[in-house]
Amino acid sequence: MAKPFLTPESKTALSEAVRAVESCSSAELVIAVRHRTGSYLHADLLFGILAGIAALAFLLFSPWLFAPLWILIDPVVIGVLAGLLAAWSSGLRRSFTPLALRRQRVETAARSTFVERRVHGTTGRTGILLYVSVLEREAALVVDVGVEALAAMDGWKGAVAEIETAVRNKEDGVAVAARIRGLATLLSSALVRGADDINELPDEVC
Amino acid sequence: MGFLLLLLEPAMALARAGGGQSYSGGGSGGSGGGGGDGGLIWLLIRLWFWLLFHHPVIGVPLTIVLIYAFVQYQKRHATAKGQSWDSAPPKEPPAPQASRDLDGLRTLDPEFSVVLFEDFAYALFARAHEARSSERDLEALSPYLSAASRSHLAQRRPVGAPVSNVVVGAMRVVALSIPPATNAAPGGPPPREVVTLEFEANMTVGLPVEKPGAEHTHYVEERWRLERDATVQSKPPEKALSFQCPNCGAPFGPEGGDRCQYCGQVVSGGRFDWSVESIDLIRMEERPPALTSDVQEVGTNWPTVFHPRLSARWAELVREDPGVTTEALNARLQLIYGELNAAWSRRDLGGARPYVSDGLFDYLQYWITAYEKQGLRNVLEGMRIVEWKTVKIVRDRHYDALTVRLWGSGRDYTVRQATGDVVTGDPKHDRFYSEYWTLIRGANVKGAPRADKNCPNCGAPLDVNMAGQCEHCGAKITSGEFDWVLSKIEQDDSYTG
Repeated sequence: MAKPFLTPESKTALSEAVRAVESCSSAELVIAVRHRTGSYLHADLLFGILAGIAALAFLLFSPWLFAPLWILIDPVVIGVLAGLLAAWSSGLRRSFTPLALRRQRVETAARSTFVERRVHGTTGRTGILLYVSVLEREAALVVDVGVEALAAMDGWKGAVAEIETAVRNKEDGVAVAARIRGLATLLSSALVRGADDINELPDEVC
Repeated sequence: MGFLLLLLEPAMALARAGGGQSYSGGGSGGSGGGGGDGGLIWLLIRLWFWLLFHHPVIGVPLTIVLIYAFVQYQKRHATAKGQSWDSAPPKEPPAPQASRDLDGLRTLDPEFSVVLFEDFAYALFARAHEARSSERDLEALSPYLSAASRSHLAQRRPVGAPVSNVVVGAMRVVALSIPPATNAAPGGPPPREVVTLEFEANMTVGLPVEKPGAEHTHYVEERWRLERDATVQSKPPEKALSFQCPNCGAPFGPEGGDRCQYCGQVVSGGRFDWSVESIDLIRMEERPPALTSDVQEVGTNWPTVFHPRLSARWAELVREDPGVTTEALNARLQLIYGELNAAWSRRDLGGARPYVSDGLFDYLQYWITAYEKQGLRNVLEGMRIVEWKTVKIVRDRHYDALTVRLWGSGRDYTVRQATGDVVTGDPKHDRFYSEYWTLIRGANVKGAPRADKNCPNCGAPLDVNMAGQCEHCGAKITSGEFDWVLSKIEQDDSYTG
């Protein structure tokens, strides 16, 4: 059983990772963690409908005889129960949602959070948002215009891929925090921290 | 109520078909279900037919209404399809396009060199404008300028005004046409190579001689179409910029029209060298380019554009010259980067002159002049290379050209010279960016790139005049004849590989 991503211990580790990155560069890193991104009603409904149809097929084609009343009621009841089960199970919701859609949702939410948390409001336009969505097991990085050039550098791409893989592999927040520190090396050479650099955004996980 | 029963009658009948109060599974029993041989759609069709033929008073108007609704839906659908719901999408990396890589001309002309061609185009642009106030001077360029091009230049306003200090800020290849083979149709004209170039330049334009007065700086953007026969072979470097007779090399004067008085050949129209067949003036302003707006860089996050044959050419270059290593190139690049940025900040390009080609020197001078004209100074502080990687190598008989993508960072801001007020940029934060830099070196030059500040020819401390010649030995060291020099700087959104 994988450890939960966000524990008090991992929150501390993630905040320390933010401070480590910001202590050696003028970048402003913000980490946002969400249990899930967007509604999964479609997955619940799909699972419920499939279960209902399976129940109906059983009622129709099994060797036992059922009264018409049960043929009407049973698929509905089973469908509702299955829907509730899907709503409770992250695995089922993930399974009934294509990977590309999950990824797209997380990226959209990351950009939305970037604006909502005013990561774009730093004076040097050096804000970076790391958005982690636990149910989807996806991480997305959004960078401001002052840091955009990093996106094309192999070192940066590798560091980001490491974080994304760690989240996909169900590593907990402490392990991911260790990988976030890997961004510091690149950022320190690209964006030297000035003597008068101030911390413009909160370091705590939001 | 009766009407409702009429409507429901077929449905009721169907609901009953197969009948039975319980269902049994297995085998064919399932097909006994009432809806098995129909379904809702079939039911509706039957209902519609029934209404149409048994109750036309209801069926016919209903049919008309349905047809009308269907036609309306189709119309709306067609209108909606033609609309674009996107506003302005973010700029994406350019899609692969038809090759504008001049290197392709070497398939028909092994002597062709991109570096030499660019030098030729820069020089021809300057010469043509400087000659435009004199019909005689323009005629002397007739091997390289068609009658239409000469006429266009001669009529450029103010007509007859002398032009000087032509500085080409940028030159882009916007179209390139290379015929598949040099074999001409019997009796027909030979196939043509066509290159369309766009120039951004500034020049000092005086008033006509009869109306002497103040001079003006014109900022122009022009499109030139150059053509030549596909059978033409490029001239060697020492003759490429001579602008003499392109056939025999003798001095070419205006006396004989398009015909050379020495060799007797008609030398215009691209028969022996590139000829400008048309010129379009895209823009001409007396106002220098805007320098006080904080332009957001585009494309810095785009993937690096690698040349498909990079690995093979790098291997070939290193095999022929083991002195070319990543470390040695890095040292050379760091030297050029440092000297260039320092000179730029001082608005005195003297310190960078040994490291940049003539064309790039013009380009840099163009922008420095633009800043000066507006009383501005672009300050670069703490500039450093964060990373670079080789993306393209082009080798021809005369030059090696090596393009790198370079990521740099540092404080980049512009101040008003008089007051010191910052007008754009941020003096407190680094600006992180990337660019494509092309360095050139003579094809016969070998050895590790130098990272010292001595003349590569005589070894004396570097002291180079604006023509790029060492003040001690007189050698021209900015053409790549001794070491790698920077010849082009391209932004991410304009570099196409």
